[in-house]
Amino acid sequence: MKINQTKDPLKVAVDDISFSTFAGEIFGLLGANGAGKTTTLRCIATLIKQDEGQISVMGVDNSDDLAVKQKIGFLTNEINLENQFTPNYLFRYFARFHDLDDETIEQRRDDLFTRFDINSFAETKIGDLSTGMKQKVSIAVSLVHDPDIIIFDEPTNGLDVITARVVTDYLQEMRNRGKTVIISTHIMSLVEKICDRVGIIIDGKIEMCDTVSNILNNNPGMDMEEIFFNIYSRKVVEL
Amino acid sequence: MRNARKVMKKDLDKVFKFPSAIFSTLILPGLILFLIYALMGSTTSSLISGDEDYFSKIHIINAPQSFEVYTTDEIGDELKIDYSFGEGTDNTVDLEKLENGDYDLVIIFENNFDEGLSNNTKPLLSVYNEHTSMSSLGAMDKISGLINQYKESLLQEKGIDPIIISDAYASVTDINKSNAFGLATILPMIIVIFVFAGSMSIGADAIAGEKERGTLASLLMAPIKRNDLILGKVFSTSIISLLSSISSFLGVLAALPFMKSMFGLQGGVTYGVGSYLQLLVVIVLLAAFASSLVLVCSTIAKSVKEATNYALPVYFVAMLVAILTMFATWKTDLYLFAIPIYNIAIGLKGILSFELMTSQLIVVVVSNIIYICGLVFLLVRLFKSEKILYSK
Repeated sequence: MKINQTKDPLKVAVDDISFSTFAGEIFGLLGANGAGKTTTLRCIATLIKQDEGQISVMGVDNSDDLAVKQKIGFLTNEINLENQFTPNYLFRYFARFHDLDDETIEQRRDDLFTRFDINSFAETKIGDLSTGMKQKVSIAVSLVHDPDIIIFDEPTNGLDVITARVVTDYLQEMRNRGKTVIISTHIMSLVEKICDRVGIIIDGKIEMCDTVSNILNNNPGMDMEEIFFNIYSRKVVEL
Repeated sequence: MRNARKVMKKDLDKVFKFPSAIFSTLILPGLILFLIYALMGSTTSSLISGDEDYFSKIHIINAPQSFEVYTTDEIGDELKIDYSFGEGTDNTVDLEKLENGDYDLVIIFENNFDEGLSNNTKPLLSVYNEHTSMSSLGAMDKISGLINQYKESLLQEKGIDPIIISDAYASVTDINKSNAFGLATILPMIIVIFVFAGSMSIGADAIAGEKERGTLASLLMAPIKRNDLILGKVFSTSIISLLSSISSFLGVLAALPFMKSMFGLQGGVTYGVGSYLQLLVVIVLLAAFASSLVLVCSTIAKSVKEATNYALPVYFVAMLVAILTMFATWKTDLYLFAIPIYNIAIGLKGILSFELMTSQLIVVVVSNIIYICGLVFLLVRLFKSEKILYSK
């Protein structure tokens, strides 16, 4: 996969990236800001079309964006909900794009709103909610269609400790239910804590891709942060 | 298309579910217009009636015997009218004098008017005034009351069947045309300006606002074709700007009684169903065109402020064109009816003044449909550009 998607028209944002993820695992894309994590996730989610290469989502090529979107729940901190509407309104609004019947919508709403403790502010305008509450509603809305693949760009960015914990717990719960979870993050401890496999991405290329346990075992006495900096330093010298 | 409807519904809910939005978008424009024109109308009215010592110079041509009683010195002194009289069929010189301000009003009775009345040949009564002259408008005020009295006396003294009188005076079309001219002068400008203003207030936010707030990304993640997304935006913006312009239109209608003396409107103007339908079609096209244009600005922009900045020149051009149309004399060159924005303004003017020909209307409609399709196509292209959609 190759994408030229940066402010600099001559810079390639992502180059020669290749990885697979599986059902029942959390895959982490670990990298510094500007490394190409978000661009990669946007490509998988069909928000951006890659210049070269192929992306297959459960056997469906990402050129078929509508089919891919039915399988994916994409979350990012860049996604916000409109301030003047309530969680109830927005949940039903987005649910209808997935052609869900009213009964299913209400069932999904009950499940997710209960899971994320949204019921108490389900009729409050988004603009009046705290950042954590908004994040919970965003998650619920993006999972309205019970997707098999959950992509979360920087899942704990900007969240308070309690909401961050709710989010990471939920991602692990999804993994345990057999869903595929892909996250991007620059927080090393988060990778160690919840990811099964990790791809370390530096300057648009994946420099290492393995299970977290293998990476840690192969680098005895080092944590993920030290391993990342070793790879990063080596790469900077090469450049 | 179903998804376009869903997108449209949510955008409409943004307005209709919130009283403050309903007030600012649908009620306020009409209210402001009503206040502005009511104030302007009242001021103008007081200006006209303010000069109470002025003797209006009214020239009557071929005055029939039946009208003599209204042209006596007593009546002239009472109403402050200085009558002069003439005869003949060639009235070019008299109308030139009216134009030059030598007369405030020229009334032309058809030759043998009384005979025509007796024989039911529908004789013509023409009243000419000068719209831009306050003294002419004042003279018009005075004479319209006398003409009404004259009609009543004909009915009472000569026993002419009211339907026949009505038919005879129906051929006196100048007053209706004159009123229509007054409306055709102001309404196109108001409609064009307010439709564009409505489109700007909604359209600038429709895409740039969603980009700025990060809400567009959630919509892009929904399984919906981008064409549907764009169509939903175009429809919702058009509907809101259309409703906003209808609010403005109603405001103007409500203020019409105050504007009569300002624009020389005597009585009313009668438009047929066809004219109303033509108006509706042209205004709908204007709303769709303005919305599509503003949506293009909104898509290119990174924020609402930027979108407004992009759309402002378009708005000013529309405003300028609309104001110029107020003073433009009627021309029939077909290519004029294909010029964006200008074609809508002169189209509206032509409909309101009964001068628009079918071929001209067709050019207005077809050219605008082409422009709207072109703009929607451009929007589709822009929505495929990641650099534009994700620019922040």
